Amino acid sequence: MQTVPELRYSAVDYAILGVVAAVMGVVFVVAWDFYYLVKALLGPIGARVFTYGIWFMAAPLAASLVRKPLSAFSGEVLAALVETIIPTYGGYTNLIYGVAQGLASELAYLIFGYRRWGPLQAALSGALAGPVAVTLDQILFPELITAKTFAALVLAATASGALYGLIAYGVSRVRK
Amino acid sequence: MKSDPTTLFIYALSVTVLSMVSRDPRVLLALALLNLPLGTYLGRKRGVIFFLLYFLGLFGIFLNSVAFSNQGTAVLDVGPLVVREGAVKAFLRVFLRLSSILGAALIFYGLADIRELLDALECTMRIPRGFVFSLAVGLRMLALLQRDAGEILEMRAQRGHSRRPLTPGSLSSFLRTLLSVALERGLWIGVAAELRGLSLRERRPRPYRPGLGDVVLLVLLALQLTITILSMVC
Repeated sequence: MQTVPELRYSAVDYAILGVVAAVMGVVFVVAWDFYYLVKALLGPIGARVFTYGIWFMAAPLAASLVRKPLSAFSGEVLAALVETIIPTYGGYTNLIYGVAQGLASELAYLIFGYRRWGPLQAALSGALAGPVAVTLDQILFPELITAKTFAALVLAATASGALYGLIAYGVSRVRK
Repeated sequence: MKSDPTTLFIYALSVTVLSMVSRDPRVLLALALLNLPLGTYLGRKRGVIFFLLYFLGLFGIFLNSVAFSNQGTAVLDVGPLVVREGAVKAFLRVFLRLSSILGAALIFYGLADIRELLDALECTMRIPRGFVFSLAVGLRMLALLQRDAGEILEMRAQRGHSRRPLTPGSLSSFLRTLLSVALERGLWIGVAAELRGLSLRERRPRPYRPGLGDVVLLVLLALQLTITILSMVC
């Protein structure tokens, strides 16, 4: 069992969070094209299964690399800020989504007492962001999400979040 | 019109929140009319393609409106496609909401200087300095990452893989390569910053002094806030 890591961040931790923000910020921007392509081919539920988790990856990636409390939240919010500052059509909705998803993802590490940073926590971190993102979609597009589709969309986004959370953990293994 | 990045940040964020919570089409129309024309003017440097893609995206929203809200009397009947009143109303609401969000963002992009924004985040908005340092590192690395990403995609193509990492496996492989290079740089940026005394650096608080441009934006924001609250109360 690992000990509880300290909350104090070093400059290297902040720089790594910056790297995650830049890499994921760019991936988020590119993911829009991928999302629309999959949505045209498979519809809104298929698009959420195959692409939504991409937007939840920054939190598990940052947490798996930095391994300190609030690293998941910081990684997601910073990546969302980069996505907001690189002009996209979503504008400041990206930041709102990032804060909400970051808080949800952080829970995955909090409930394990910040002692475990493995694949289970990474998958859970991505999965927990799913319902939050779909709820925000429901607030942003209440006209386009019916009660019937809401449950299906939550399931799709959660599954996608878990899958891409695992991928984020795998990617983080690049740093030994 | 020169505005403080703090004002621009608060303005864009507040208008986005107001647009998200507003349900009344008259309020959404007011928000869109106040933000989209000004945003389009200030963001005209983005080019025609930016706006063209936005309108193409709206076509997708129209199709979604027809798929999910096609109720009421028929408005348009073209062979198998029957567009009903509900779909038109849903599309108009979403269009107005997204237009006001985009307009507010374009006002921010048109007037904000990123270097000044980073300074304002730390000195005026009192965001923790480490967080702002991370953001500064991230923004500085964007150009390098773009170059690295281009090289990795080129290598993928030369090795017979698809140029675009579209599957989860290829995305993982692409990100691992990109991160391994970027993390090495990040590590040394962190070490250099620590050696230069980042953690010992004092915060330089800067009082918020709004100018004419800020007052104009704050009055616009107050007007939109009043319209939204009145629509919810009345």
